[in-house]
Amino acid sequence: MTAQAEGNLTRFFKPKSLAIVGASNDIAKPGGRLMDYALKYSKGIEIYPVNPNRPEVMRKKTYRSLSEIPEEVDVACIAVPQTGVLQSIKDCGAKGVKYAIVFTSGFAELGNKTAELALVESARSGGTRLLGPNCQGVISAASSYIGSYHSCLEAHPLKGNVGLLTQSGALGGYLCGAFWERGIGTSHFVSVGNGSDLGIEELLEYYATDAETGIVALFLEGVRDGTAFRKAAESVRNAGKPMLVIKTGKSEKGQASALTHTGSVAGSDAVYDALLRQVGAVRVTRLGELIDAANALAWQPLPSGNRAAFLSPSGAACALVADLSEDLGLRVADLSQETLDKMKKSLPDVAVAKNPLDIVYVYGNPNARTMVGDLIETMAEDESVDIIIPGLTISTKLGLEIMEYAFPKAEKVVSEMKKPVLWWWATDYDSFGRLRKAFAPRRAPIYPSPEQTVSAAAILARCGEVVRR
Amino acid sequence: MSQHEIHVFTEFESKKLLATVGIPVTKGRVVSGEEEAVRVAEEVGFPVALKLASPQLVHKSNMGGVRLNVRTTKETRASYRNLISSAKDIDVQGVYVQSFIPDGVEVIVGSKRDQTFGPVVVFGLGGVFVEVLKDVAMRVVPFSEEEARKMVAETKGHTLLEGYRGRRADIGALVDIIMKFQDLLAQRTDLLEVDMNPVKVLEVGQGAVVVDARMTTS
Repeated sequence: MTAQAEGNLTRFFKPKSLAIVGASNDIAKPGGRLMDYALKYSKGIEIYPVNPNRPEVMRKKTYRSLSEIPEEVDVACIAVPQTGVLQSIKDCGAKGVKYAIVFTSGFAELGNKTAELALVESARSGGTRLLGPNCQGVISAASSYIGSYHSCLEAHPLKGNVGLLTQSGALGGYLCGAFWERGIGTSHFVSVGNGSDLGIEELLEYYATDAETGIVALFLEGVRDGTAFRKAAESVRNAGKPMLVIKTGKSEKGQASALTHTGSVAGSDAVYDALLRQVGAVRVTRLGELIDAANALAWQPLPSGNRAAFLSPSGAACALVADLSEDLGLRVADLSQETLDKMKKSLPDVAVAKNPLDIVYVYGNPNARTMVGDLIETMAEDESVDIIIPGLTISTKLGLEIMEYAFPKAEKVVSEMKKPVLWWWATDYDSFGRLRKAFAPRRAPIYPSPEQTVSAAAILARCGEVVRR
Repeated sequence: MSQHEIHVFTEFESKKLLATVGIPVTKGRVVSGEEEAVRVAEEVGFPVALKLASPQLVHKSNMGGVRLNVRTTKETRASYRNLISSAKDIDVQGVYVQSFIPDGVEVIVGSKRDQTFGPVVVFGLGGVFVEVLKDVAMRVVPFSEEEARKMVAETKGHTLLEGYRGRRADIGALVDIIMKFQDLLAQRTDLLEVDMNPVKVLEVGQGAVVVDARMTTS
């Protein structure tokens, strides 16, 4: 990272002024969408539309060129056709624009490396740092700053502590939207696209020190500078921030080597895997896995171990979670006799106090409303329990009555005992949607299946282990 | 990198280089006559191993270019003659006479230079564990001694080191080799791939020694 970048990335994430080059009234065009979203969600940022053919765009005074803008420009969004991008970058240099975000595609990703190199050289000589090309820009919910036109912005950005960094604009925006939909807030989202200048390495280094970012979610296709990436990832870990990573390319096989066995097993993906493990990042393979884990990390404390207590009104589910735990890296906690005795007081007579706990039946149980909450508390009080995973299969109506009592109990476990509580609820799609809306304000992660819950809890445990190390 | 620029080190050259950073290798050297073979065998002490030294022989044991557990002067002479006569058609530099290590758990320690992250150390148990099961652990250089220990423990086959036929192997000596190997990789940035295969890990307190090695440089 250059000294200049280190001092200035703050302005990249918290600009005071934003120019939109190629601004348009047509919200079917990138320049129109950029304007629309920026006007809708940005706060405390001066917005300068640039378009040589219009005096006004979306009722904002529009400038014929960057040079006509009377004030300083921190960030310029470049949404002009491919053939006009280079000139826009030159204009940025002449104006003294600090950062240019190039959304336009048609560069190195299509083999047009010469054109991309020309952009980079022009930006460098003009003193402008470049994001992209072929990217989806920046959405900083933390700074109320929108430099993106991804359709996830149809929803209002939700501020939180997840820092999202991707190469892909499409999947990055999708993840961002998926987080918000579940009530998980983001600090910043950056899609680096081709990463011709500002890359994953430098932005990750910013996330490590950024006070708004507590968790890092990274969708990676490859890194340019392995040493810088390793250093940045270590900074994230040293800052005590968990990092979830999807790295594509698992299907690439190691090259067959006639000479050494080492050569044939140390393929490029295997090396990424080793490096990520080494720097304490948790690698996941599925988008859903990343979203589920981020949900748990965003709302719950890191557990001090991987021993879980389970309860549900399904014996089959109890057997399933025990199996899943073995596979995914949790352990079924051994409860003390004291805990088991205390559990019996909340349970129906026919139930056996053990872990995983089958609470047998809910309907018709006189303790129905208090049982789940009390059992969560009792299990959490046991020193051999690090994580609590309650699951329900009952109707939403009765369920939410149970939750009225259980929420404060679970919240006490979280805030006082620092033990995460992760819920699953096996029900129909519509009911689950309602449950999720009820759970989100309580910052209680809920999943539609036991396997998703156990997987998220296992990742939470691994993150806890890394951060403690 | 183009193929013709890659240089292959012979076993003897490889071990010489490994020894420069203090990695224990089998004693011995390449000889060009029967009398010299006997002299070296007596120097290093019986039992010895005799191997045809030829850059053409990559998989020596497959081609019959190896005589293991040679116990006497007489056996040394016979082995030497057999090896030389079996190698009429290939370019032979001589015969590598070296001490033979009958005991120990066989492991592989190797490295590869990754285009993105630089040198990577690979560890696995010998034989089928790496070749067939791909049961290996990897770390990107540099890494701590603690990571080296974890790396060894990560492989499924490591239980063989913890206690094989009632004996615990000298894991400390193995970790020491891994740490010294990192020094070599830092010094020699031209090393592309290295295989120390096998390294024999002896009982606790008795160390570990590289029995065979090969490497390529750019």
